Amino acid sequence: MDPTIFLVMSAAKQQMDLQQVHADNMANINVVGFKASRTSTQPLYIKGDKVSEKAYAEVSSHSPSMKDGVLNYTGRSLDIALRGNSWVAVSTPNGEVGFAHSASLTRNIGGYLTTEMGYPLSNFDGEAVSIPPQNEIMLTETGEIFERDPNLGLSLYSEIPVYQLDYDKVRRGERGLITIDDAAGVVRLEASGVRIITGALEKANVNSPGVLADMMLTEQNYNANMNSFKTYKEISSLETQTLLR
Amino acid sequence: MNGALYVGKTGMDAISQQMNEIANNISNSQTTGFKASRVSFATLMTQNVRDASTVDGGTPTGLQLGTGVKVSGTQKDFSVGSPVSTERELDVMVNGDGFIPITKSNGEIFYTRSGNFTLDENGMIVTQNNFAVGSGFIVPEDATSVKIDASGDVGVLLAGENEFQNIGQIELVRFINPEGLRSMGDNMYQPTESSGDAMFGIAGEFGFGEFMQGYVEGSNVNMGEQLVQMIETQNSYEMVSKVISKTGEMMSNATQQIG
Repeated sequence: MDPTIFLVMSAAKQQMDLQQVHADNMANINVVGFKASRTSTQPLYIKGDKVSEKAYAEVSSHSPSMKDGVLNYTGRSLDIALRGNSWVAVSTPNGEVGFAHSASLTRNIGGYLTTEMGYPLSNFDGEAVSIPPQNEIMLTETGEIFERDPNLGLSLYSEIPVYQLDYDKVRRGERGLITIDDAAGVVRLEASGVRIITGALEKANVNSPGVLADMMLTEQNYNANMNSFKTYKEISSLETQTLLR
Repeated sequence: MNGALYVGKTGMDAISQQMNEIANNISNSQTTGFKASRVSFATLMTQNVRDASTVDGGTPTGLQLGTGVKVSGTQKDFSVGSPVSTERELDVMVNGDGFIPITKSNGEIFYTRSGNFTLDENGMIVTQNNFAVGSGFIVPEDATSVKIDASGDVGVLLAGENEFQNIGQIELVRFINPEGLRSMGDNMYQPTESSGDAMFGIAGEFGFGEFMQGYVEGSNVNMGEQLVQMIETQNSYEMVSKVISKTGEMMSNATQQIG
């Protein structure tokens, strides 16, 4: 059996997956703190003699790009953004802890802060960062939460822990959060090394013209595969015609 | 069917909702006490097609395909709008934190930030949609002037007298999470589980703002910001539609060449 047709179809299938990654990056361009997915393609060799050796293509998309996105100053005191390798932890309803680079926080009446998805801001062990139940709060650059009591003035209430991640071990988790399977890849930063920007949100780090270009390239490659398919069809029908004559 | 088409579609849906919100903000840029809102987006679930492998000869990076985006909610910006002087006695503005409680004729309580009040046929101080301010303040027929001071005390000057007579105090209300309030239209809000219960207080005390008579609170819509966002939204929409058209071309190419 001639494997050409399967090679071509395997490649076309990979181009389709690749196109979905591009589409997802584009669709998430307005998500706060979104990190774009990266892709790579590897050949999968099927061993044979020199002439019949084949390589199928296999697309991978796993660890997102960790570049910083542009800051958008909103002026809202509970909007936070971080820079570089520093992340805040968020606990998801299934008990996992994910990391976010920017969040629009709201006060929950339970006495903690939640992200726009409703997930509480927590530490790496999944314990929510507590906030004063009623009084006004103030966040500082180093992640301290101050309580402003109308009679007693400002007092330190709690701290938002900030973590540094080992980028070789991260992967995309639930709902756009970043997760890490190996706890050794998470280091809590000292307060002196923390910088939380308040009143700003980080835009998605999707490079939109780049994604458009990738998309067009993917389309062309796909069309080229379709042309190979057509040529193969023509050749095989010629063969049949010639042999049956 | 191709996933990229549906992913593109989720992007289009979410972006058009954002456009809707921007249009609403811009249309309300002159509405007294209006609070701008913004849409927040969230990534949809990630589909794990193939896990990363540590086996020799396996691929160290797997294949995870995202499935697009959704609107996770809208967020109201409760910052104070700029004061607009009207020099009208029944216009008040809360300069700072605090909502004014208003009561519907059936006893239901709502909370508002727009203080452009009027009198109804009984002399009661009411909002623009005839809801009583506070628990109801009756201004006597022969009153020549009404005074609302910084702490919300309402005084009336009766004809022939030269001192104001106090007829009550307008209380203010605060919520732990004002963004959790449900917007009921006409600049009225109602508490929800997420906003927490109303906490009553006196203007000027414990972090509440003070009343300013003769002013109304302008809309807090920042036009420049809205216009920039509109440009950005339009760009995103165009790019996402490009995703859909390119994927469509791929599909039709397949049908033509293989079929």
